[in-house]
Amino acid sequence: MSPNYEVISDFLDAEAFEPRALGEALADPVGREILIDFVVLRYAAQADDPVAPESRAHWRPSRLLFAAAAVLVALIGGYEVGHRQVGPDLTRPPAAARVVAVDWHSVPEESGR
Amino acid sequence: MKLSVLALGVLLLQSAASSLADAQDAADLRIVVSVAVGRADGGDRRAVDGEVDPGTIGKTARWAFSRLTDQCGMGVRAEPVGDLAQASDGTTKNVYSAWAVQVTPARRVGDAVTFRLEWKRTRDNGKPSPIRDNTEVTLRPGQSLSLDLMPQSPEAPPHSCKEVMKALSLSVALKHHPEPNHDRRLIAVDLWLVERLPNGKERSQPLSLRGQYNQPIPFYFDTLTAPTKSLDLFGDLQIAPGQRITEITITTRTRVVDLTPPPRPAQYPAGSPWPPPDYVGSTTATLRLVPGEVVSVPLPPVGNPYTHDAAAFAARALSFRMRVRQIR
Repeated sequence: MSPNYEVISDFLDAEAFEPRALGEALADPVGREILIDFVVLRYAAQADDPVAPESRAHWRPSRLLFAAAAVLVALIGGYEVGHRQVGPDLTRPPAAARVVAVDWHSVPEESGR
Repeated sequence: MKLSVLALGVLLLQSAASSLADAQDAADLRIVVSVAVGRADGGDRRAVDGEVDPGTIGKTARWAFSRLTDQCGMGVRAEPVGDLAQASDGTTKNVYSAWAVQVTPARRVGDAVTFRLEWKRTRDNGKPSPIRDNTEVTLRPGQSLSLDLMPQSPEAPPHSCKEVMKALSLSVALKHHPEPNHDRRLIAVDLWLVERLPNGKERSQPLSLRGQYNQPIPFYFDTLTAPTKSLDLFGDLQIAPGQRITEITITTRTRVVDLTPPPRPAQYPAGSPWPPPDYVGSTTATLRLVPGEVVSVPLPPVGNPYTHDAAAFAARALSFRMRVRQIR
């Protein structure tokens, strides 16, 4: 199933988004390309926007914050998906759902000396 | 639209799950009557058999096992044979050795099957025979019973066979159905030997096993060591299918070996490994779990409780952790 890429747009537009869906979208290479395209597009659009320099300066820290967050989410999402693709670590046992106290019976067997 | 897709997905998953459960229910038992041909070269060889579902209570199944003159093997048919019978090549031949057998399932309690078994030698090396028996038998899966052994005269035909036929043996067994060669189901077992250390942490050895239902799946863990002893821990799992619950019989074998043995005695038999184990023990237990569930099974104390052999491992808190699932 392909991820929901619309969540990237929601994230960049500061609209409500599902963090897990964003992680899945950014874990996908296509999702990361879309993120870069959106960021470049928004940067270009804002460069052409005749807003006052003070106003643009006011938004710059938050844009940086967005970019940092996007990179962070991409890294975490990529790690999670990569971890899932590798599969469970069979060398370490998972936690047991319950302990079964079985009734062990001795089986006659040859004995040593 | 999304809801309908979701509903369809749920239905598909339910369908897949129920077909898997149905496949597991198909495994059952069969009463198998067989005649083995004993050869001078090669010993007993399974020749022919007839089988009946023990669920057909009160319904009698009949077979005639026969060796015809100038035939090197055995034949089985549902109808009784007389003095003459038709060979596989269509010709009519004398019946040289034969049994008539009938089985009537009586009851089944758990996996123990009770049935009435009646058999008689209808032909013994070309002659009639009075030897017969009529008895009630109870068997559990994997158990078998020898019923009759009919030596075969070395002068008997055919002389064209390369093998010397020494005897024919009649036996009955209770077996799982389908037999392993016909059972495509495959199960995966994740098994860990877990040792809880005094500091509360765990040390473990993983094993990834695959096998068939109702067949022993052997496992061997690496040797555990103590200052003066070593412990080999191995055994097998036998897994019975179930619709929602899987039943697992674990047989665990332990072998304690002295790491600082005395010198090998001069009179000790050549070819025998030295030192012999201090202790070899075997324990078995049955547990039930849901497929995919991870459970922990504490192991019994290692070694003979009446000797000092096991003392080295007495404080080791050992347990199995396991997960079983059907993958085909």
